Amino acid sequence: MDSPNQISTTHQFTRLWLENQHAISGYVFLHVRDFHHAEDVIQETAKSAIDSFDRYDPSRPFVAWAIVIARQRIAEHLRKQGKRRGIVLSADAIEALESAYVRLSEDADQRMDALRLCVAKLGERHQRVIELRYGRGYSPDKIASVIQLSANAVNALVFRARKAIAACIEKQIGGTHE
Amino acid sequence: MSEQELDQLLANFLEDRYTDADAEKLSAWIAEHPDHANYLARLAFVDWGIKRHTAMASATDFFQILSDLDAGSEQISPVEISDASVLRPAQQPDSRRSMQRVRADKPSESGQRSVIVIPKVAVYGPLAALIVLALTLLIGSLGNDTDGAGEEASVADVPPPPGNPIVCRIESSIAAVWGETPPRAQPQGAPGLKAGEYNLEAGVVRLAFPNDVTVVVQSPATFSVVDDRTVRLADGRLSARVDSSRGHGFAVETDSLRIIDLGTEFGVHADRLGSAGLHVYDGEVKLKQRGDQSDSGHLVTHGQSVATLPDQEGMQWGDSDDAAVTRMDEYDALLRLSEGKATPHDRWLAYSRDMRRDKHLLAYYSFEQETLRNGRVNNLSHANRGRFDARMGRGDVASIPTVTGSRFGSDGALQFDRTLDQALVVDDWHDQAGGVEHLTVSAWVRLDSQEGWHLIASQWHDTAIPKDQRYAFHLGVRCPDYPLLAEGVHAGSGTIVDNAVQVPAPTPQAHVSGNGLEYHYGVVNSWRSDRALWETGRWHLVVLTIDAEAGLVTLYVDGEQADRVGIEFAGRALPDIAQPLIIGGKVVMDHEDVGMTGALDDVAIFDRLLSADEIRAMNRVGTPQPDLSTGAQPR
Repeated sequence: MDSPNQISTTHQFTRLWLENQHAISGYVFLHVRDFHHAEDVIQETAKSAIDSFDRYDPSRPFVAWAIVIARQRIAEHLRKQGKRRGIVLSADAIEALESAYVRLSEDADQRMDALRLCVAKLGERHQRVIELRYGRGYSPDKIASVIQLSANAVNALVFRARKAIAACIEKQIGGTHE
Repeated sequence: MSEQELDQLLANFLEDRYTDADAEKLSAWIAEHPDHANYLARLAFVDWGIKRHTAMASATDFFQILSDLDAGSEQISPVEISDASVLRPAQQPDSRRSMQRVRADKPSESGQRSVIVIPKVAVYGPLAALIVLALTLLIGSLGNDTDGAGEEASVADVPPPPGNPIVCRIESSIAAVWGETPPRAQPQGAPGLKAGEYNLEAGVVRLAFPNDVTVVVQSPATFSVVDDRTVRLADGRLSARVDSSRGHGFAVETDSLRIIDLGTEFGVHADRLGSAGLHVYDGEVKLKQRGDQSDSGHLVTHGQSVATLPDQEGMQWGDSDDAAVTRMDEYDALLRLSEGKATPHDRWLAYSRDMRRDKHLLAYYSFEQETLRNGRVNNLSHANRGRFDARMGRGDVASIPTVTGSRFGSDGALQFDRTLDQALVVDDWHDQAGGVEHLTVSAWVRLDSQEGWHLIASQWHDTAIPKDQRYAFHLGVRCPDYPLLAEGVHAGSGTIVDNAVQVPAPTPQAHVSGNGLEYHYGVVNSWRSDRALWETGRWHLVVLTIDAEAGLVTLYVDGEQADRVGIEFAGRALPDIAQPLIIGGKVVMDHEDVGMTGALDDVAIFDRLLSADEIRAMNRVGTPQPDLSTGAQPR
């Protein structure tokens, strides 16, 4: 049976993880684009974080510490996949992105909430593309055949929709920050 | 970096379609300013959020929820907010009310969100239980933890990207029709293309990039001009030529390949399913597969091709096919055609390039110098590339035919000498070509003697084969009696049903006389017809068609029908025997007066019937006379 201290530590970890889960998961997904693979990496990250939680310095942001662990698991995963040497962005870029995700973690939950509203506010065409791309998991080629556009046009639509949603979220977050 | 280029870079990254070069550019951009990293993180977070939401519930449920939320909300337009500056936190009271409404309408959101914390964490047993316990305690508190610090710096603080200048000139075009493209990249009437994606729906265009790089894009194609050293081909065909060392490093990318020029001419094709191919016509290129992070890549040199297929790992290597794309010389010929400045050779070049893409073309030998390599003549049929290459000679140097001037004057024909047994041998002919129902053999022929047999193309049976199993054919001339003949041996009985030209029985073995056909040995039939037309030193187009289905054998000379006979075939048109195809030489070695003394050019063999109109067009386009019309395409 776990000791009270162990339970307390686990509670603390769980709370911190839950508070930062979206930022950590989002960071993993940035590098591991397959959702199910990303889930695996997130799981591995959580396990590693639990295992080494006694080395976590509470005076520092948990998300920054967890993201460093995630980075290692991501690199390991990509190497196992044999597709890349690892994370292909430069060290400076990775550092900058990790800082960005630390900042993003401050209102990640709000962003997740705002996301639904923002997707709903997309125009019909873009919402349709988003639904096909994410909801049904269609490839751009398949979407292209469904809506009679080229795959590149579909990619462009998806990207514009992403930008629109991101901007919308900023507006929503800005509103709540007032 | 222009905004469009940046968008493309980010889109590729988010779709996991980026190259090493993309990663380098993106890394530099991210490290340039903290807001750049913020921007990418927010975009990627959108991806993550949608995937997370859709994983929580079925897609239908999620998008139904969206529909419910959408009621009464204003729409956002991606076009309106494409400017990065709108990523600044907005100060609109309505937005805040919307957020509050959402939260009020969906009180279970916090709980639902919490359930999906670590999807597979249940395998960790005690942790899972504790997480569930912790969730009970945490629900609500997380929802209150929403006083984020907001943006530390605005994207608007970042200098806007420079203008989007013209990257390459449209040097010329032939019947080009541009499809739907982003408005800012609309090329009509513009002297060049800016960075961006373009759809070429019809025609061909030649683009001139800096540093002596020329690209010919053949419709239909979807491609992106990334910058002055990179073109990305999503779907279609293009060729690129780099005429100076300054252009080395110019790259063409597809979904699966990155081709980096090292001083060359090469062609690339790609489709939306993920297939891609590279053909190197001159010099060499460095080829890297998508995802290959090594610095070396593969060196692909003159005459080689590499292909990738969407569902197969690795690359398939082979010989380059210059009919795979519109090459520079073909484009030049087409352009001169379109401008009314074409030479006869231009016309034939354009015609033959199109003919080579006929899927029923089994073999085509142009005998142009570049198709003669390592003692072989390349088969230029696009559909049968890599097969039916002809061996020059019979194994000794003397039997190798020599290169001579074509009917257009250039070195592009083969000269045969009967006395030296000179011939071309297609060893693998029977492997794939046997047993077809329709056959067309065409060749340009110039005789240098009016004596003996001149065999143009033959496949003959082995005398060891029983007579009732023999198949054979040949197309040729037998001087002086039979100026043109097509003779066959066909197992089983045949019946003559029609003969357009009355020809005397040629040999004592003929069982049928007076109608130009003879039956050998009673169970083997053959056919022959003739028309006096030959004179030495003059080129003629000779075409034989065999329609085994309808029972018609037809000979054409100089585009006109010379003779036709009707035969009820019991079997197939093309000999289905394990014997090679012989071009320009004897098939039975002990026949002293059989072979070819003269020249052959542009020999083509189809497994379909060319129509009379097509044969007339071939003759018209291929005859080097100054008053030629443009000429129709072969089909």
